[in-house]
Amino acid sequence: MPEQLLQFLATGVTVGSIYALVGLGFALIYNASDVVNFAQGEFVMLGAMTTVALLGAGLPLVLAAVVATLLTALVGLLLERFAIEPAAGASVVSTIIITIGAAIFLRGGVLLLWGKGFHALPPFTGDTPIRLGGATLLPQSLWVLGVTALLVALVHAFFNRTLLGKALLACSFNRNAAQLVGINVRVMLRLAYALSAALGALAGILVAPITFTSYEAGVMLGLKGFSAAIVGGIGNPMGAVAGGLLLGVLESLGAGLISSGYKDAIAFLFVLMVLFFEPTGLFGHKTAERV
Amino acid sequence: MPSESPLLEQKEPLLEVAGLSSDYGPVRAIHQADLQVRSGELVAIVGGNGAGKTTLLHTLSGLHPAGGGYIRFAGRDVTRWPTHRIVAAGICQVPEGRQVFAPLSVEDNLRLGAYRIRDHGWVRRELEHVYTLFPILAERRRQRAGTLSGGQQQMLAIGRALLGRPRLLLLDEPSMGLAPLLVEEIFRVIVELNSQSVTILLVEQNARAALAIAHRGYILETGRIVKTAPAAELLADDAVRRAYLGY
Repeated sequence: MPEQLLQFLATGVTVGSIYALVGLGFALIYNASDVVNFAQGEFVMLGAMTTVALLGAGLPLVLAAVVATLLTALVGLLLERFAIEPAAGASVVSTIIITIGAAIFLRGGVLLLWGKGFHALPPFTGDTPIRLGGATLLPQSLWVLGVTALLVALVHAFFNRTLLGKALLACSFNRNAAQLVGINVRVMLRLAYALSAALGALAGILVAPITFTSYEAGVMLGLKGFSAAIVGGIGNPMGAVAGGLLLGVLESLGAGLISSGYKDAIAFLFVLMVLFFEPTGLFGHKTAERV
Repeated sequence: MPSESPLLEQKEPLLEVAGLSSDYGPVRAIHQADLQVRSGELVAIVGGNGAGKTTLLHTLSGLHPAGGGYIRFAGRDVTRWPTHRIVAAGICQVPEGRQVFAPLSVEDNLRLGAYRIRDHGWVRRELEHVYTLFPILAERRRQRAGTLSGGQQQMLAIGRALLGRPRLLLLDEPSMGLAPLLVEEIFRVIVELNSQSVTILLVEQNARAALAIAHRGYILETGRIVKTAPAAELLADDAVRRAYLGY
C-alpha cells in the first residue's frame, strides 16, 4: 500500500507539473490584461502537434521542440495582434469570448492540416523505468519535473526581479497609470501572449511522450490548467503552480484509490469546493487597500 | 509667494494648445480650448466638478483622443501620439486619485516611473532626490504602495512622475481627499519643484490654494476656458472670488 501511494504521488506530481505550466500561462495573460485566455490549451496542443510534424519532416527532436515552441509563441503573438487588439476597449468578457473563438479556430486549423490522428513523441531519454522506493518513474517524468522547475523559477524571477515583469503586472493593476509611466500596453500584451504560448507549447511537448496528443488534446489540458490557476488564486503565478501540483496529486490519488473513471470529476469537484470555501483561490490576493 | 511669470520673452511656449476639443461619445467635454505653458512656469487650471479638467489632462496625455484642434509640445505636434510616446517626449502626469500600483512596493512604483529611461545613473540620482523630497517614502520603500495613506500615495504618485524626467509635469487634483495640513505639504513641494525649474500645469478644484502658488491661471467652466490672467489678478477678481473662492 505505501508503495502504491508513492506511485500515485509520483504520477500526480508529473501530471500536476503540466497543469502547473498551463496554469502559469493563464496567469501570465491574466496578469497583463485581466483576461482569461481559453486558447491556452490550444497552445499546449499546438506545441506538441507541431513538434510531431517537424519530427516527421526529419528534424531532430531538440530542434523540432525549439522550433515548435517559437512557432507557437508566434501564433500567440498573432492571436493578440489580430484577434485581441482589434477589440481593444471591449469588455473583459467579450475578450474572453474571442479567446474561445480562437481556440475553436486553432483546433479546426490543426484538424485540417494534420488530421484526427493520435500522436506520441518519443521520450527524450529512453524509457527504462527508474525504481524509486517502491514506485517506478519514467525518465520522461524527470524531464517534466526538471523543466517545469526551471520554467517556474524563470517566471518567478521575471515578475519579481525584472522591471519588464513588473511593467507587465502594472498593465493589469492600472492600465491608465501604466500608460502614463510610458509603458506601451499593446507591446506588453503581445509579449504576454507570446510568452504564455511558449510556456503552453513547452508543456505540450514535455507531456506528449507520456500521453497521446491530437487536435483535441488541448481542451482537457486547458481546463485543468485553468482549474490550477483558479485554485491557486488567478493572477498569482506561484499559486497556479501550487494549484497544478495539488490538482495532479488529488486526481492521481482519486484515480488510484477510487476509480480512474472519476479522475476528471474529482479534479473539478475539488475546484468547486475551493471556489465555494475560498472564492479568491487558496493563494489569492486578499485585497486590502486604502483608497 | 507668486512671482512674475518667468521667461515671458520666450518665443515659443513649451506647450501650446489651440482649438482643442474632446468628446465622450456625442457629448463634447472640451470646447475649443486655447492654452499655453512656458518653460519654467507654474500654471493652474481651476474649475468646479465636471468642468472637464480631467478630460483636458487625459487629452493632453493621449489617454483620450482629441476631437479637434492641436497640441504642440516642444515644437512638435503631439496631438495624435500614443501616450507612451508623449511620456517619452517629456509630458508626465500625476493622475487624479493617485493611481499608484497598489500591490507593488513603493520603490517598484518609482522605478516603473522611470520605465523608459535608460540612463541608470540619472535614475539612481533622481530616486535619491525623490526620497529627499519625501523622506516618508524612503522609510517605506519596501512596503506595498496600497498600504500607504492617501497623502503618502499622492507623494508616491508625484515621485513616480518625476522619475519620468518630465519637461512638463501635469498634476490632476493633487489635493483631492487630503486633510488641509497634507494639502499644504503637497503644495509646498509643488512650489519647491517649480523653483527647481520643473514646468508645471496644475489642475485643481481647490482654486484658492492653486492660484496662490501659480504664476498664471485659467478658469475652466463646462468645457470652456472662460478666463485667463495672472494668478494674482484672478485671486482679486470679484466674479472669480464669488464663483470659485467662496468669499
